[in-house]
Amino acid sequence: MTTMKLLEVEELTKSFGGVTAIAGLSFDVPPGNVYSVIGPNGAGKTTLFNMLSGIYQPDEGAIRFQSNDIVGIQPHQVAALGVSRTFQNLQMFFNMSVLDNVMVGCHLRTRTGLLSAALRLPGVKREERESREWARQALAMCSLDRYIGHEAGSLPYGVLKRLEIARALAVQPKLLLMDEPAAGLNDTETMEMQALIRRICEAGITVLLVEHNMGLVMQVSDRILVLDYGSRLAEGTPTEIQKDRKVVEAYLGGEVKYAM
Amino acid sequence: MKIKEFALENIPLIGLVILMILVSLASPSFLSVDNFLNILRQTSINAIIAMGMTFVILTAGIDLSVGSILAFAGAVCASMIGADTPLLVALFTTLAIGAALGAASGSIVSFFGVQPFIATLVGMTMIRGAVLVYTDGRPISTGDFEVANAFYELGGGYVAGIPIPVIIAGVVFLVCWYVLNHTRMGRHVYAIGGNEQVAKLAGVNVSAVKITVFAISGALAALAGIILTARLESAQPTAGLAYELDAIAAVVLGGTSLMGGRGRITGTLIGALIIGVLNNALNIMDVSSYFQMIAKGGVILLAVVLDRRGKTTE
Repeated sequence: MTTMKLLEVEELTKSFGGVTAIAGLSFDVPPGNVYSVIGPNGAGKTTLFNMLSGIYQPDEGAIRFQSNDIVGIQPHQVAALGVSRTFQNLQMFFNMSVLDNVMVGCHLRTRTGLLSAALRLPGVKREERESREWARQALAMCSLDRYIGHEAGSLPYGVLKRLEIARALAVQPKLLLMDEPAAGLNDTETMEMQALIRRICEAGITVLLVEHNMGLVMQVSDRILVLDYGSRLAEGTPTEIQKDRKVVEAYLGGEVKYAM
Repeated sequence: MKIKEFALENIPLIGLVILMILVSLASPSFLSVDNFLNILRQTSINAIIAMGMTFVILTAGIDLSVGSILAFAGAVCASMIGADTPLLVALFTTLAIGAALGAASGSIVSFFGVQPFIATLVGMTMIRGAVLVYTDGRPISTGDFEVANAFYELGGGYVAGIPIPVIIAGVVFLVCWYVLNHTRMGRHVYAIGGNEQVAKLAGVNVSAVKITVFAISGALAALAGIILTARLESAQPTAGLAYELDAIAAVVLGGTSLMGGRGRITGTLIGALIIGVLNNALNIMDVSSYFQMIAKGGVILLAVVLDRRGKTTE
């Protein structure tokens, strides 16, 4: 019995002081999709991500992931359930190697504690080998094989954007939250990012995407949610969204020309 | 270019070598096997504490309570040995107490969001108070039972001509090196120091790792307490005063950043050796202990300034 919802958000509300960032927002993300959230700056997209990943607690409402209520649990527990994310502003362990950056996320499926790490070295060795293998796969998926030994701090921005995704993939998520993966990328890099997002989705990982590049969003998304002032303005397939008059007036404006 | 890179990567090691060359020029009695073993033995206690401190500092924390934990562990261990407790029981109990005291500081840091500096300052003060209460301000002898002789070996004994404290420090070094460089735990320690928020979101249980690093620091401080107590055949209520500062100095001399995330356990070992060689050199050159403190402070300052310059020209 498969439920058709991987993520359910119900009547979610979050205010900071007098400002309501998210106001009674509800939506469902079906599994296997690329689901995009768009809206003008300050529409509440990043606030939404921060609640989904457990950094902020909502004032009201429910978030269910695979029917588990994830409101009120710690970020590392959210990650353990299979939700992982990237950031709008690059977040990296800059002083660690590319491989180590990714391996930090690799431990969730392995279960060796410190005591057994001290007492059963063979188990630890196997765990290290498995983690390294999985990290290499995540790096290969993001076309980062040749940077494996580099220190993260020495790499160009476009590569780091992909490294962030590789690290998020190493957690072996079922849902990947991507916060503006194409921000600051040039056209070629944006094309590569688009292909990568599709590859991730084809690998069976549902993607929840926040992105300002409308060309990319329209190309890559299965469904789109449009936010304005923290509530839903519209929801539907890219074609539906592009035809929606409210959306065109409020947000898309001249960018409709990107439509397929 | 290669040489310059090597030099920037290994400033602590180069510093140690230069220091040793200078000292051996100034004092011929420095260069002897006996004196070297002597330096290693004197360094081992600080090195063991500093290696635990390295874990904490790599997570961008600090542990000021190690000196007090050393004294408390020493006092408990001495009274157990004095009461004819089997050696292994006494040792494991003492190490467990050290780990528990460290874990307590770690829990305060993790669950109440208290700065490590403050949490361990509280620990340092309270545990030192507990030592004075427990010992009534007087030394505790390890007594005359058979077990006291075996216990003494831990601080004063030799295996194949090498002092046992040096061997213990060597084993601790190998274990720490392995854990930091080749296990998940080690990677998490670096990750938390590098970027705690991302570590959390990458699924790292930050609270558990922080409690663990403080427990490691506490257990190693207790181990140092065992060695010191064994060597002196008694526990002193004032043992370990200001030892946290020597340990922090060793970590910093070894090139580990107080901001966390960057540093190596090998560096800490070298840092501890620099302090050990310096102490030894000033002693054999008959420099008064008052001047020794000034000299030591100066060397630490010089090392840290050089290290910062090396990092900013990268």
